[in-house]
Amino acid sequence: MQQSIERTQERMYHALGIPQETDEVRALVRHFAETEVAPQVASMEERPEEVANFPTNLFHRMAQLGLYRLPFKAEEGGAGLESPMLASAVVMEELAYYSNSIAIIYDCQCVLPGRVLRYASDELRNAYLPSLMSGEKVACVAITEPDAGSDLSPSSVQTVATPVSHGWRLTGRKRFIIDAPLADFACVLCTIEGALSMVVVDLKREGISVPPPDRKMGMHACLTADIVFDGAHVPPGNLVWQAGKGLRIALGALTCGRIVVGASGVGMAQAAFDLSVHHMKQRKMFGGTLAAMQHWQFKFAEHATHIAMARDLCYKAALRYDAGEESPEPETAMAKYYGTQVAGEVARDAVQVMGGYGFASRMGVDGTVYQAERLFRESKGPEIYEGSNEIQKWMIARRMFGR
Amino acid sequence: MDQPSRLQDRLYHDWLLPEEARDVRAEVRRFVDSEVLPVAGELNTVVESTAAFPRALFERMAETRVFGIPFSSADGGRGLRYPLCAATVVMEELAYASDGLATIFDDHCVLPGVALLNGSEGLRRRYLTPLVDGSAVACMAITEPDAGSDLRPETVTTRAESCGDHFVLNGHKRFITNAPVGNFMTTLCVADGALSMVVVDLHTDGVTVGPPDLKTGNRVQLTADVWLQDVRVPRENLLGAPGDGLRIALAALTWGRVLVGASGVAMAQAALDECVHFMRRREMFGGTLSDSQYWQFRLAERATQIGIARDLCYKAALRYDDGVRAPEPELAMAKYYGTQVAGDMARDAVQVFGGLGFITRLGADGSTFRVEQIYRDCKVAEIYEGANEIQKRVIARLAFGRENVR
Repeated sequence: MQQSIERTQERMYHALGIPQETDEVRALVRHFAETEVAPQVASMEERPEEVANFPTNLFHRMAQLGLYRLPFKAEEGGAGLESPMLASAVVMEELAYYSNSIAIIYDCQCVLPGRVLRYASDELRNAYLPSLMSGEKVACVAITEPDAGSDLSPSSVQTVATPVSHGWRLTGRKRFIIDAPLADFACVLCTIEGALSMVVVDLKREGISVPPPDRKMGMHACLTADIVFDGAHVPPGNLVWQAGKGLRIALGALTCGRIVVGASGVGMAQAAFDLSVHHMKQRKMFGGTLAAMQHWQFKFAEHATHIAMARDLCYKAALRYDAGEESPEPETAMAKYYGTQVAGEVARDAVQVMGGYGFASRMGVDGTVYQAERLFRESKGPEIYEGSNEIQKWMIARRMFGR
Repeated sequence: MDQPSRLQDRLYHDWLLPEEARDVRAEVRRFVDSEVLPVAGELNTVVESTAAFPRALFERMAETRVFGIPFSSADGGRGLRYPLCAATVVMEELAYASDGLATIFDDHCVLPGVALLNGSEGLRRRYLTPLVDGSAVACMAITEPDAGSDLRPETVTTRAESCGDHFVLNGHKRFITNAPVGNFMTTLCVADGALSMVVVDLHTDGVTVGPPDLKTGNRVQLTADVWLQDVRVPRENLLGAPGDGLRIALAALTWGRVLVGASGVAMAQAALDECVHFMRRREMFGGTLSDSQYWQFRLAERATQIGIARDLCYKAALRYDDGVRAPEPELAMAKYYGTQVAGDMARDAVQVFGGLGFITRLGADGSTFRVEQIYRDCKVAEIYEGANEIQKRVIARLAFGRENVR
């Protein structure tokens, strides 16, 4: 995202009920994103998914800036915010404005595993939380399998933890696990004697292998891969809460994930919107500019409205969560699907508005990078992961009609 | 993943299409099934470079006289009664496997070829004959860095100065398909103060072709900038008369618009076929994904849209082949609607496939996914050969009158 592109957010949206604490987090992350993430985006997104290409420097900078501490209480070494969920939503929004890869890395390092560990014993939590927050260890959450995505039931989840004398022996395969190629530990959904359970597994040990990273449509700086468990040992203390609580834990983590992913959609939508407005004001044709075309004026007026409503939904869900509502529905489901859907819609029009330049990633003539098509590709992922948008609609429908 | 079955014959009936065009469909479909689909994964995920040009498939299309489909026997073509219907079918069948490959057909054979029909006997021998036999690669050069939708003598900066028996061309074209491997281009320029179309040999002194652009999709469609610096072109390379340039470009784009609409239909069909195949096998919630009423109804809508889009394309093509040289509004409707359906369907298709829909190549086993390719390929079809907004303008002008629509 070129620094010369004007941000329209302050003009087109006004936040109500946002604490000053959150504004401070936003300012910190926006500065980091503008000065450190933005200049790296083109090069990191052009490289194929490989461990060597992972943006390690940015991962560590986020740790240094204390971002991975934002979800946590002061007494456990966290930032001790009054509105930590709202802060995470804003972090995701600000990071995704420039790079959804970096945003999702934030999510998978501290939001998801952090929420999982909230269900753990103090001992288990203390064994992993400090190094997660410091960025010394890379975390990941492994729920999805080749044959289990939306349907997480004991019969569909094939990763099994078989009791042995001192803990469990883990076999199975996880798929599309963000950060798996580099992670030190994973929160793994499995079955223990037929009941869905969550265990924390150290990945750098025998009986665990990670095949090469997937090559994806977008978000190339974020690495996903399978994790294959072939008799990996899980110590007895590494069961989170109890056997049989796995789904509850996973869904609890995904409540947080859904809010922040909705916010990442808002960030991407805003970026696509700003790129478009900038282009339309400059691109001359038919005796005026594109901005003079009523068709585009009205289309983007609609987009501005959708972005504002999506942002409101995300913040409302986050604020309800921070006020103590563990499962703030239907706002969470609405925020996730709507925020990500808006990103896809605005990105598609951003490519259209920019014409040929919208379809180009890098011009052969002079190497100029255009961002619209990256947003077009990136925005598709969030509609799918952390609870597909159809599952969100299913949740809303259940609330309306009864289970 | 095994090849999904084609649903087209179950969900659509080719009642508009003449038998001649149905025969072409059967012929090209056999070619695509046996020679293109098996390599589609590679074609659609490669990175743009001159080495990535699908030379072998290009030669096979020449060998099988696919490049002769739009043209009369006198011009070395197949002499069909319904050439635009047939060319549309070719585009549809190719794009089912690879929109990049389909675009090569359109931008090598159809656009420059149709423009060359305005040339003298001699010009046609020099350029149309090798275009049809595939010994030369052609390009159509209209777009410039600052001139896309708005093509007027004031906006087109490529100029042809008259110098006795030749022109001297100076200018800059952008996003020119096939330029990195091209032999010649039919070039829109301003000659004697008016928009004109001139054939330029790409190997003439003063012509520089830039490196290929890196794009979202249509990877084997190589596009680049072309600079013209004091390029001498014989006067006889003028197509038609000075001032005929826009008319010739729009006549070529009459063919192009139907073809691109049909490419949209094909991409949407391919995505739909992939979805149904996947959904029937994807187990969840005690059944399969195809049990989801939400998706059943949504895809029913898409099947409807694909059917009507295809009808629009062939209706426009038939009207043209029957003598209506500007078959509006069907032509504008076909272009925008066919490409829009592709975009809508592709987005749904990636969603249906879940994580796999976002994968270019799976780390675990190297699988590629057609719907991921289609999502990346289809967006440009809404943009080129007359952006969809321009198509809506054409329709609006027909509805409201030219004087009321700017």
